[in-house]
Amino acid sequence: MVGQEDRMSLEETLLRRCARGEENAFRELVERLEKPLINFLYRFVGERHAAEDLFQETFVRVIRGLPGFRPEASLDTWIYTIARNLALDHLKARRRHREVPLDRPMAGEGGRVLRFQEAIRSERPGPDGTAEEAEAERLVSRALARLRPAKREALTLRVFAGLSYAEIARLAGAPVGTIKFRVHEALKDLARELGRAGSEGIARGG
Amino acid sequence: MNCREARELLPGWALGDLDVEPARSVREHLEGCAACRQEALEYGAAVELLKGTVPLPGSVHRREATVEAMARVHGEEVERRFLPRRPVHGGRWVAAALLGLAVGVGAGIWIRQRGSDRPAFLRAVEVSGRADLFRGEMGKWFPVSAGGRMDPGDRLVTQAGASVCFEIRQGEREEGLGSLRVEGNTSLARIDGRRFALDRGRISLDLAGRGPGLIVSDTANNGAELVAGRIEVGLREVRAVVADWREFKGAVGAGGSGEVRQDAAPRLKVRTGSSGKAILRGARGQVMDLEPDREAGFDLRGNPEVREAGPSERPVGGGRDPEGKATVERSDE
Repeated sequence: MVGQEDRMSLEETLLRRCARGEENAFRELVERLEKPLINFLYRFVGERHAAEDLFQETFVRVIRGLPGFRPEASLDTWIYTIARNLALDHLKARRRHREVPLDRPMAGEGGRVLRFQEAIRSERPGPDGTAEEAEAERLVSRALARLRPAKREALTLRVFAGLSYAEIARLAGAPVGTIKFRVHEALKDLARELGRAGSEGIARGG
Repeated sequence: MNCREARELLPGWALGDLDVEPARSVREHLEGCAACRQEALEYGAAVELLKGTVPLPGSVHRREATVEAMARVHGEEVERRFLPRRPVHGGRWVAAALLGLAVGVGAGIWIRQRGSDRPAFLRAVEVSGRADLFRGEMGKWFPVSAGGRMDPGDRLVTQAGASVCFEIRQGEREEGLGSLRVEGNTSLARIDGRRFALDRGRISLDLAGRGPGLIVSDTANNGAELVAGRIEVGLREVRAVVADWREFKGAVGAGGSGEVRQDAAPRLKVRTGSSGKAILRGARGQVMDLEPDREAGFDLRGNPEVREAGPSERPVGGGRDPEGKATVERSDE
């Protein structure tokens, strides 16, 4: 288990190699956070293409910001902060250009908002469950899109990036209690949005 | 625990956030309360749904595209931050790599010829503007003219706008090693067969592809050894311009004769007796921290490498500057 000091000196070495322009160091830096970061970005901004752009831009900013990075700060927190700020800027710009506000409920088949159980039951289950997966994906995307940014941010960082409440609090610049509140409220909104799903339907669907 | 209290905790319970005690209390309450149990299931379902989505996988393409962007930006940053915008001499050095070496405060430089103790022979081949040479032997100043020599004990002073170019040879009638150019407001003293003291301004040594015949370093023992290219030495800076290896190949000759192999890339070794930074500018900018007694090498195509300097490569003579953190400085021109 790597202790606090060991972690810091490993990070420092990695950063020093990055500062020298070593491409392998860049690669290590990217790999280290790739999956949680891209998934956070994707779930937070809701668009795959935008998430990929933001992912790349995050690391470009990291390189530009290397000289100013204080070694005692956490590298991962710093990277997430950059990503999050870029994502927020993106959302702001998107809101300005969108004609349809994100919050408006979208109609499902037949003009009704599909409730979760109905959606699951209405799909013919495929042998490998892909139809269900696709439907779940669609529902999650839509439900997340309806959350307010602060709640969505907290929830996606917790669930998709796997950050602790303390880490989220640090990068959002809010107290841990506030973050917990946001995550829990987000879950409540989500549950309401998804309808009252029977637990058996979900548990079996896996 | 009543329903109101339980409901407050249900989202946290579903996410697995609760500590042992509160979780136990919630569980107990749920066992006895159908309404709260239903609500808990809904939260649980929502969490399951979130966690059940297929995450985006890692992608080589994404990683490599990102690394590529980082490398490009890094090169730009190195250039912007460390190197002044100035045109490289002549059109010859297409896509040249420029190494700037910021050294500890040291006013001396010296030229060492590998495998030879003989004093380097310097003769002026080009003079323009106002340049004067103090001949140590005679104790007098003379204007510099083409054909004049610079011997141990002499001092050359050039004024702003002036320039003197010396050819450097192993001996008077022997193989040429390169050339030394002194420009601008510069004062350069030749101490002995191999050592020079630069008190003001800058000089530039051109090896013209002759191989590792010249090593330049200052009295702080910061140095650079070139396989090919040009070194500029300022009071607080040693800069080496290394030709792009493709260009270098062309300079050797169409027949490909000479010491340069088809796949050879110019190498630049850097050694320091005090701390400092070496910066390589190019498509892939690189910055290296230099430490005393460690030799670092730049391969234009690869990453810098650092190793302990061997005793035989340690420069002879010159004192050591006290250890101090050197900062990168631009040439003062």
